[in-house]
Amino acid sequence: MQNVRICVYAKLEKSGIGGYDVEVVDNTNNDAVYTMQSSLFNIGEDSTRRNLNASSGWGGYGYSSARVSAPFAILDSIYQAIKKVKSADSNVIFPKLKVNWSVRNVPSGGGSEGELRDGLILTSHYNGDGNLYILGDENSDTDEFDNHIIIHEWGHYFEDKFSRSDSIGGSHGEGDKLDIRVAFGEGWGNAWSAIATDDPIYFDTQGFMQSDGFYMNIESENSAVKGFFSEDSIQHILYDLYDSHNDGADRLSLGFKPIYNTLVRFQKNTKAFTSIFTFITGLQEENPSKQDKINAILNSEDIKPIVDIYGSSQSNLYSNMGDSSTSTICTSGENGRFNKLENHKYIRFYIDASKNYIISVVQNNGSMSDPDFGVYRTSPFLHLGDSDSTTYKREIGRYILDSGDYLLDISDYNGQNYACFDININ
Amino acid sequence: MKKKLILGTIVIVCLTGDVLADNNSIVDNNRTVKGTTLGKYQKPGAPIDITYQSTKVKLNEPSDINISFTTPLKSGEMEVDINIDKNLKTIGEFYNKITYSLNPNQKEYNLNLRVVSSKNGLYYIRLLTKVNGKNGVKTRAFAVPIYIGNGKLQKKSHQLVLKALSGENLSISKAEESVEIIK
Repeated sequence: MQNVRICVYAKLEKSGIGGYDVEVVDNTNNDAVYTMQSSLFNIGEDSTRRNLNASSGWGGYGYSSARVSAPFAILDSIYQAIKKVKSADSNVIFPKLKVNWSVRNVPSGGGSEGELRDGLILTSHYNGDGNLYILGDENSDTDEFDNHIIIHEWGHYFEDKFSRSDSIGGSHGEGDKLDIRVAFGEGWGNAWSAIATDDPIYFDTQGFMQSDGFYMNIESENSAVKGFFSEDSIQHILYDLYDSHNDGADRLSLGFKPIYNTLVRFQKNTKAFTSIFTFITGLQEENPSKQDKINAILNSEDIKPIVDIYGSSQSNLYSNMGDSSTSTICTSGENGRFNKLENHKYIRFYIDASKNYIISVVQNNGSMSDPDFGVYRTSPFLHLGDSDSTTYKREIGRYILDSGDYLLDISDYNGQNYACFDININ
Repeated sequence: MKKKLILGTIVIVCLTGDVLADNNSIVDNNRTVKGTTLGKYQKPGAPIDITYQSTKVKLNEPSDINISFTTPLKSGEMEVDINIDKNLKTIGEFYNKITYSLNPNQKEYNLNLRVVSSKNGLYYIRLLTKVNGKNGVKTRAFAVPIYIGNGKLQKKSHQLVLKALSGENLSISKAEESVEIIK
C-alpha cells in the first residue's frame, strides 16, 4: 500500500469564464507558496475521512507556533470579494494576483525591492502591479484576520484591473480634505470592504497581543469633514447607494450591479480624473430615474447635485484653456501637502495640430515654488509623462501631442501656501 | 480574531525537495538609515506620519535613533506605546509610553532613543500611536528598523521551506489532523 501526504496550497484557482488565480506567498522567503501538510499515512483498505485544520498558532499569551491559518484567512477574504463581483458579472475573469504575507512584514520601509524582500512593506497595500502586501507583525500590526483591510486593498486591485483609478496615493486620515482622486480611491476601498462583506464595521487590530486598534462604521459614523474631497463622505455615499437599509437621506438600494457597471464602463473611460464627480455622472447616466434620490444622498454629505465630470457646479479645480494657449491657475497648501485638496490643479486643453509642443509652467507671484506637471491624453485616457525637475519657479517640458483633448495636472512640490502659475502651451 | 478554515483551497499530493537558503541582504556598518511615511500611501488610521533616522552599528555599539511624528491635529493628545525588540537594550532613560499634548504651534513631536545589541540582526522599535478623533480613537502602527552587525533578517523557527519538483518554493507547516474511518 502506498504512503501519501496531503498538501493544501494557499491558492485559489479556477480556469475559464469566471476564473481567478490567487496565491499567498512569503515575500521574505523567496516567494515560497504557503502550504500545510498532513503527516505521512498509509492509504490502507478502509475508507477514511481525514480532517485537516489550519491552526492560528495562538498559545493564549502570544503566537507560540506556526500561524498556519493566516494565508487561508487572507484567501477567505479575497474569495468574498470575488464572489461579490461575480454576483454582478458572472463572466468576469480575474487576472493573476499574488498576495505577499509574512510574519516579518512590518509597518516600516520605503518600498524598495530589497526592503520588500526583508518584510519592510510600510503598510498593507496594493502595489499597482498585481501584488498585494499584507502586514503580519505580531504585537504591532497583523492584518491577516482584518478582512475589511484585505478587501479594501483588493479593491485597489479591482480598480487597476477592471476600472480606473487616477489616485496619487499618499497618507490620508480623518478630517483630511483630500485631492479628489485620492478621496474617491480611498472612499471606494472602505465602502467596498463593507459592500463585499455586507458588514459596515471596518476594523484594524493592532498593538500588544493584537488587542488594540480601532474601528469605523461605514454606514452610520458622521463624516469628520463633508464634501467631494472627503474620504468619509465618499464611503458613506457609496455604501448608501448600495445597501438596503434606508436611513437619514438614504432612500436608495441599488445593490452592487449598478455600481459595478459604472466603475467598469463610465469610470474606466472618463475624460476627467476619477473622482466622485465622474462616478456620479456615470451612475446618473445609467440610472436617470434615480437622480433625485442620488442627489439627496449627496446633499447629506454637503455635495451639490453633480452636473458633469469636472464638478463644475461646485469646484474650481479644473480650468479650461479653450482657444487660448495660456492660462493661470493657483495651487494651495492650506489643507496640507502632497495629496490634499488644491495641492493639484488641472488644466483642460485641446490640441488641433499634431506636433512637438513646449509646455511651460512659471510662477507669477514669487519664486519659491517648485512647479511640476503631468500630461494626460483623455481618450483613451493615458498618462503621457511628468515634468518634475528640481527647479524653482518654473518647469518646462516638451511633448509630442496628437490632435485631441488633454489634461495637465499641476502642483507645487515645495507646498507653498499660495502659488500662482502662468501656463503656456505652444 | 480567529477565523475558520476557508473554502476554495487546493489539495494535492505533496512532493519534497531541497532546503533553500535565506536571501538576506548584507548591511554595511556605520551608515544612516532614514525613512518617512510623508507622502506615501497609508491604509486608513490615525492621521499621523513618522520620520526616522537610525545608525547602522557594529555589535555592542550604540545606535542613535531620532524619531519625529507629525499630525494635522492641533489639540488633544497623542499617545505612543513603545516596544523595543527583545534583542535590543536601551541606553539611558526609557519610557514604554509617552503622551504628547498636541497644539497648533508645534509641527513635530520628537522621540530620541539609544539602543545596543550583542547579536547580529535586523530588529525593530515598534510604536503604536493613538489619537482621539471626531469619531473616537484612531491608531497607527510604525516600526523603525535597527541594523546591528550584519543586519540580516533572522529566520523564524517555525518555517520549513522546500522546493517542489515543479520548481515552486513551498513554505510548509503542519496541519492539525483527525481521522475518521468510514464504514
